[in-house]
Amino acid sequence: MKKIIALILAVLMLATMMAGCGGGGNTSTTAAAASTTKAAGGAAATTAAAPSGVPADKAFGGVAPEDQIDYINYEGAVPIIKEGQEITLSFGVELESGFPNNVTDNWFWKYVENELNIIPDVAQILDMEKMNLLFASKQVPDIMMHINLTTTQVATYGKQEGLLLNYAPYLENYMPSLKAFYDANPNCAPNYTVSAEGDMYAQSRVLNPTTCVGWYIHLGWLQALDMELPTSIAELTDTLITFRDTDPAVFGVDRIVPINGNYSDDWGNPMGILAESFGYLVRPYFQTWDVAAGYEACLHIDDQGNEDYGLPVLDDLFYDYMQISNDWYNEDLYSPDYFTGDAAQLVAENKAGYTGVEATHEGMGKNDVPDTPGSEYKNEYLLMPALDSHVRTNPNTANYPVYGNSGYYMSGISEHPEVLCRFFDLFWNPEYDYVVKMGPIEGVHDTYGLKGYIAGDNPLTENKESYYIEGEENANTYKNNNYVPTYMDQTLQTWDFSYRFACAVAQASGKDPAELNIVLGSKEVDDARNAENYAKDPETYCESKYREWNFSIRTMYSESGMDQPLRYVYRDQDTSNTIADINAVCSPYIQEQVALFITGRRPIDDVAKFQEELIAMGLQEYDDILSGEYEVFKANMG
Amino acid sequence: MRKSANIAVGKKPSVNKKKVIHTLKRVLAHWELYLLLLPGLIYIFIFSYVPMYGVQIAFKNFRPSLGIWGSEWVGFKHFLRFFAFPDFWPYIRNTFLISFYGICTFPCAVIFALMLNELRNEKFKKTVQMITYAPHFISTVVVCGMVLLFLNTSYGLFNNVRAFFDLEPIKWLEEKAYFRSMYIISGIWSGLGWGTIIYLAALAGVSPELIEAARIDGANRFDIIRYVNIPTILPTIIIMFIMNCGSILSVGFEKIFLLQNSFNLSVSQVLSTYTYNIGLINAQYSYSSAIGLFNTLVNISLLIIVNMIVKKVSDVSLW
Repeated sequence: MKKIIALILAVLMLATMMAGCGGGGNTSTTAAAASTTKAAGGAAATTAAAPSGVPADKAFGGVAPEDQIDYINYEGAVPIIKEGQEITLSFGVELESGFPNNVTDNWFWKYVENELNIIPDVAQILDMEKMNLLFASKQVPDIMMHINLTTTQVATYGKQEGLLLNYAPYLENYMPSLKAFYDANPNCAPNYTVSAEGDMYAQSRVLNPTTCVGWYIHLGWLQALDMELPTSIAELTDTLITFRDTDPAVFGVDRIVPINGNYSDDWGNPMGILAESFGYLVRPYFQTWDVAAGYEACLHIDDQGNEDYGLPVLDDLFYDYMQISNDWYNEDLYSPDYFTGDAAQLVAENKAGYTGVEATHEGMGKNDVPDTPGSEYKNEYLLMPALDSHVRTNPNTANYPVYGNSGYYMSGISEHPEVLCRFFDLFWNPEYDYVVKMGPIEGVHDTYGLKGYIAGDNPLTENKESYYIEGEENANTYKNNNYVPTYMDQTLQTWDFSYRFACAVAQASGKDPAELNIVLGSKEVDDARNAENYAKDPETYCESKYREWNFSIRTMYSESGMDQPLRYVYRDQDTSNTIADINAVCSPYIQEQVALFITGRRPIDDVAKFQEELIAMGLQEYDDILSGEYEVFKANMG
Repeated sequence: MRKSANIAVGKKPSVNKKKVIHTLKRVLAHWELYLLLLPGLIYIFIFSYVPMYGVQIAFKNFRPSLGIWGSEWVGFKHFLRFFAFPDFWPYIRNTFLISFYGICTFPCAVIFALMLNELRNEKFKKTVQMITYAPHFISTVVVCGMVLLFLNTSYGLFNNVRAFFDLEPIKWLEEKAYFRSMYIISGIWSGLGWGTIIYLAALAGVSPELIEAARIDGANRFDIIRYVNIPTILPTIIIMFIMNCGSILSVGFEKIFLLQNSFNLSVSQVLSTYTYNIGLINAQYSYSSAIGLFNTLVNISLLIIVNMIVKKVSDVSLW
């Protein structure tokens, strides 16, 4: 009996072990797409030329019949695969961490399957570690969405390893919409080209126009104290001290945090406001510690217009920068948890109304935009313009970039590069881009039986971009992602986009929001932005037109706005390794020492010594590399 | 009795052959046990031994397109790069200090096991055991979250207690001097109970007659612990100590990474966090493999040295 039990146990253990060996959970990341076709005859897909195809003058992309692939539809943009046939493509979608819902619970994938005849095999990729491992093991998904590769990675995985598709040869015939966009907008070229030969691996994109990041001050508190909006660092300091000394009960809150933020958080570091006032063209978004600590390369422009590109941490001005930061700390103007708190605490404090000044847009207070267009606005927070300082007057602000990197990539080892290109071209096709990016229009498109998220009581402050969650019980539980389409009421979505941005522009320029309708012409556009008009004339009111309109809005954000140079720099492997090694040594040291300077644990008079230490660590070499790159950039700009 | 062919022709079977036959007979006699052992052996072979071929990327310039076998051989280039890394010694120092601090708390589990063993109330003993085992099952992430929450300057439990007594809050998380203690104490809290299991099992093997004899000879409770219990579990203690020494340069990554902040980087940057940054985030697999291999070789060397020392000093050793 014991022997039988032992035998059974051994077999069970063996079986369990073997079961654990097979498969990789719920992620499926095959190196090449497992393609299955369901042609009428059941034949496998081939790349043999069809004996008769769509004439070239009528074919999608003008592809000649002899060059047409038999399972791809050339009679129009949609479907991509011919009716009666299907192929399976693997998708790798990077989502925000902590995303609570399955990525596949989304209308978009059903659209892909039903309308494009592509069976999506979707894997959720949470971070770059996983992506790096997929590249290293050559298990690259056919299509990658929202994958934030660095320029070095694009050069390495694309040009060097061939794991990313160079889509330049396919632009003409398989991505005509994208080509048309690039032809019309040559300025976005640096965001996608990677080499002098014109290789293209990344796709450009128009950035979310409603992301009005910057430094916000509590307007309600200013009004309650009868104070003006500060226009300089000195005035801001006085304002913050006044906030600090005010009884919280005056503001109806439990405590006051004059300037809130988080040293390490992506969105929440407020120190860039100082850097900007000194003349550094710091990016207005993703304010991590390296911006605060002067460790992010940026352009400095003084009052005479002289330019210098490099690391602020090595500049003479860094002493003043640390001095003011330390003064603010000594005055108890920072949150006590500025260095050790987390984003959740920051958001909670903002929501509770404790914050005087903060740098973000997501963590803002309850009402950051007016309730209805044209009404008297009662914002709690106001976007501050760039502040003067003792070293710079009327400093330049960095424009929120018009173009960015889309995070869309295609596998270089896929069996169906043409299909991949056709898929992404939809995102640029005026006829389809709005649907694939925003979701179905109510009453116009098939929702496949899914229920969408409908805005709650205050649509202006609720999260607008939602993953579509199936089922009423899951409604209103979602996370934000700009890149995978969602389902929601079309009018609300578009109206909200245009109006929120318009309000932020108004705040920044001191204009009455009611005037904006004239300035932006948005009233007409907004009126047109309803489902009925869109359904009648999608070409006029589609996303591409919306983008064109937004380009003009962007330049109005600030009269002194400038585009940041060198947002995308492609370096060779040796230079990248050198910088990586310098970073590994200097980055933690700077992060720590700047925190010590700000808190006074290291005397401010040690700044010069600190800079000498950094030079001894090799930081000057990095600074020289950056300066050299900027010289090349300037020379190329002419 | 059947004689082998060798005997029939006047030859004796060789000694080695006899040993093999004897061993095989023993195995067959206990085939169930070996069969139970088989899955574990296969598992270790597949997941621990087979992947060893991949360690060669520490000596190569790994490129995904060429694969492990096709990548260029560069010899000790990555090791030399690591040795020349300016923060090499600070990383080693931090790793060693945190590990050493951890080893110094090694007696805690032993002492706690001895104390538990002295409890006479079985119900209370089991309750204490259950309470002390429970933190082991809490994930590292949650433990770190709890640590950060309790030590938070504004909202933390400890500072709230201090505020209750009109004391100034302490910025525990901003002082790098507290980092190692924070790391180790939270480790003791989560691992103490679990670590006593093996010692309690060893203490269960103490002969009652020996204890009885000691009592008769006039030994009190402390004498029994000192002269009976501890010597009985001493081999277990030594084995566990040797194994702890074998991981002197292997400070876990997760907890360090989660407890790091801007103030403690100079003491919290260890080999594992560096390997994570350089290997997984920057995808320098060859370089990070070289660091990992270096780490492993140092650990093995220390293990061998400590084992040799312990073997000379006592009769107990790993091998």
